[in-house]
Amino acid sequence: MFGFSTHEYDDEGFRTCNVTGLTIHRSAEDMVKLYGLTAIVALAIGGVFAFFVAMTRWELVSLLSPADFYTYLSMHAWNLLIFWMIFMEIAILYVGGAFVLGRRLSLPRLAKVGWVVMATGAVVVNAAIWTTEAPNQAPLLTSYVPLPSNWQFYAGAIVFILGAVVAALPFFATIWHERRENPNETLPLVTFGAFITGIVALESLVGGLITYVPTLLWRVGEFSTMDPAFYRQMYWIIGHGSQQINLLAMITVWYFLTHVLGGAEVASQKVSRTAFVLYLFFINLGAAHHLMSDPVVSTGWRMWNTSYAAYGAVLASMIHAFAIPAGLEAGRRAKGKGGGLFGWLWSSPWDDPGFSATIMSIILFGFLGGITGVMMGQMQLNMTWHNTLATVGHFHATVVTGTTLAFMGLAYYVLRLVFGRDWAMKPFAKIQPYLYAGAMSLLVLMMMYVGILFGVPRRHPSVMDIPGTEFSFAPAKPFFVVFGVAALLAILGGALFVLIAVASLLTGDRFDADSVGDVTRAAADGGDAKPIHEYSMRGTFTLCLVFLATFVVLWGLNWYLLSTVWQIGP
Amino acid sequence: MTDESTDAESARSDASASPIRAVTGLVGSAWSALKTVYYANSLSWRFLKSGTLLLFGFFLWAGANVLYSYNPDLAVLRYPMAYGFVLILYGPFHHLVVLPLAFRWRRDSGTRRTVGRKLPNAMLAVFLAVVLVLGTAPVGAMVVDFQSTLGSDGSDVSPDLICEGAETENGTEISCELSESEGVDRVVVTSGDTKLVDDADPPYEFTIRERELESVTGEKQFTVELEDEDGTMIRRYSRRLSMIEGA
Repeated sequence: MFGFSTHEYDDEGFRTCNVTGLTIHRSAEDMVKLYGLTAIVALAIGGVFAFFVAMTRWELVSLLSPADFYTYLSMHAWNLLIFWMIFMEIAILYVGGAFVLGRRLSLPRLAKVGWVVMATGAVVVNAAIWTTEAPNQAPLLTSYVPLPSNWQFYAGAIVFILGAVVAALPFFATIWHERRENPNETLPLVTFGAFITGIVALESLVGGLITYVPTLLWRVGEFSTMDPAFYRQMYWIIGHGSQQINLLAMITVWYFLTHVLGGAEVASQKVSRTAFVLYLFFINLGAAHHLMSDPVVSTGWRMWNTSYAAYGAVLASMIHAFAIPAGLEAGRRAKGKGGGLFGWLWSSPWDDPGFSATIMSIILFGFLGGITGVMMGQMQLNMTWHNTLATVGHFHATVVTGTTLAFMGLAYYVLRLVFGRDWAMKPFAKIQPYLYAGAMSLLVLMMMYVGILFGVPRRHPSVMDIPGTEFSFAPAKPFFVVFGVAALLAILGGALFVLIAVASLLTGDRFDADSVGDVTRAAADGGDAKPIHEYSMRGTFTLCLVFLATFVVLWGLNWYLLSTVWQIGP
Repeated sequence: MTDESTDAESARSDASASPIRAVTGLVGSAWSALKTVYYANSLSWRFLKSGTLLLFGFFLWAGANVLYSYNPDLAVLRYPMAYGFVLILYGPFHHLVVLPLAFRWRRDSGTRRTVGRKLPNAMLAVFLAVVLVLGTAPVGAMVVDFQSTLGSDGSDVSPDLICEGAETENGTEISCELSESEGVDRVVVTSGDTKLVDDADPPYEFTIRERELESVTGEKQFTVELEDEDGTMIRRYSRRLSMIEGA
């Protein structure tokens, strides 16, 4: 497809990847290319709008007028949170399914139809947002009723969601055929993770249809009213559910890339699979924190979703947080690549952007995104986070420093192993993950600071001077300077990724597996016959202790801040 | 790096010998691991350490600042605040510049070799001295004021908009008034693209007719904007006809 490939296939359309050892069929490979490239196009579009949004929130620049700000913010949100992510996630489903199982992609025509429908929906949504005029409002991501948006926007969203459902069906059909042919074999962990991702995706997408179909009918006048409380409850099934797809897809990518690039093994199949199953039952309930300030949900509903259900989801995250680095540590020790406490880390291929992006995604998602997510998902702490810029900081930590970084790492290897092209601009490719991760971390931290410490609101183009109020956020100005500079560096890092990807496709040399360097690190048969769980994981244990200590300190600090809001008693 | 099996065996033998020796062995291992991280000098590790220290510095500085703003009597908080503040710049500088330079100079001879050996610890001593000085006498930029979000320089203009509908011979009329008009210099009422009222005279009471209103998403509604003396919008109210009593 596209004429970029350098691979040759046998008469059946299969080839064997000489790095991963996977048997890959052309039907799946073509679709991975198609969806992956479309995702990168969406990333580029969303990144352009990121510049305008960031340079408006940095009020020293104040680039956009308030009216334009919402249009640009909507373009930024839909292209990055939805289109970049979901196109990439469909590609990940095909990698986790057909690639890992070594099968043809079932129903390949549906995959093409799905892409056409999704792309149509994406174009319609973009056009609808861009042509927003009064009385319509730019939808941002949430498009809360009764604020009206173009009817074309709702129609485009529905078309895109239907396209995503259609695109997911070939993956499920592939799994179904696999189970029919090999009923006694367990699915590989990466496939299992992709399968759970697919189920959560379908839950989320069905929630989207329940939300947008009635809303479209309301917008065109078929329904006289639309209950905002119903809308918000239903919307967050997809609004936050789509971000849970990101989470599961990202973790699946973590397992895959740490194995392929770092020689990781799975420390315990049962434990990791249990964590995925916990996600299946509990992760979507994390959406509840969006409704904590709404009057319509009961106390019981709040408590269930923000405590019991949250524990299930957080436990799953904690399991993965240990299992993935532990698998990397044990796998590398088994291959003789780790002595002492952190020898397995020293010897890791840090100059490989696929590896460095993955590891930084794991670290930053945990420290910045995970901890804050658990805190703001609590009924009480949510009061100090809700609708402040700190919330935006949280989801930039999860979706950008976590998911986007992991997907960039995957994309580097899609370029090499799927397109068969080596990276152009190699020195830049090596530093790109560090530049992007470092700048985004700083940006995220500043968002959290100004949100949680000063109460700076989200979705507002100008907060330094709000006429007619006593609020003054002027003390936050120094933080916004760091925010602005970090945003520019992060956008530069993102642009660099897109540039490397395009240059690699157009001018990259034919990829030779030998140039990976230490190819044996990917060999699953390295080391001796000792079971993997018998290798020391003390390095990971130490890192987890640091993580938990950070968690406890931040937790205590946030409760302290909440306690200063008001006083009970004399 | 020590050998895997040797590590494990020595730890086991230490633990069986005495718990105190086990603890000291553990502390010793932790210290040597910390030193290994400190001296790691590949480009990627320099960057990782710098980034970690930068974020840690920001975290310490902001965290200590928050606690200090609520507890100004706890002077001890100024030291972690100063440590974080200086670490933001010095942490990356130490690992990106000082250590690589020291390692390079150590391979030379003469004065460079001597300076190379002493430089990291000397710079750490300077760093700690600066922290102590700043903690004892904080400079303005280091202490962030989190308490002045509510200033006294502006007035909080937030009147209620009270509207009632009534049937008249001209059809339904909606009469509105503000609960207070202080700080308001002008009221503009629009429906769709049509301006219905432009009132610059307090107390800004106005009446509009239902037939003048345009429909948005099937409902007749209008918008009321309050402006201050500079012509800046300070409040905006949207009202649907169905929300108004008597309309």
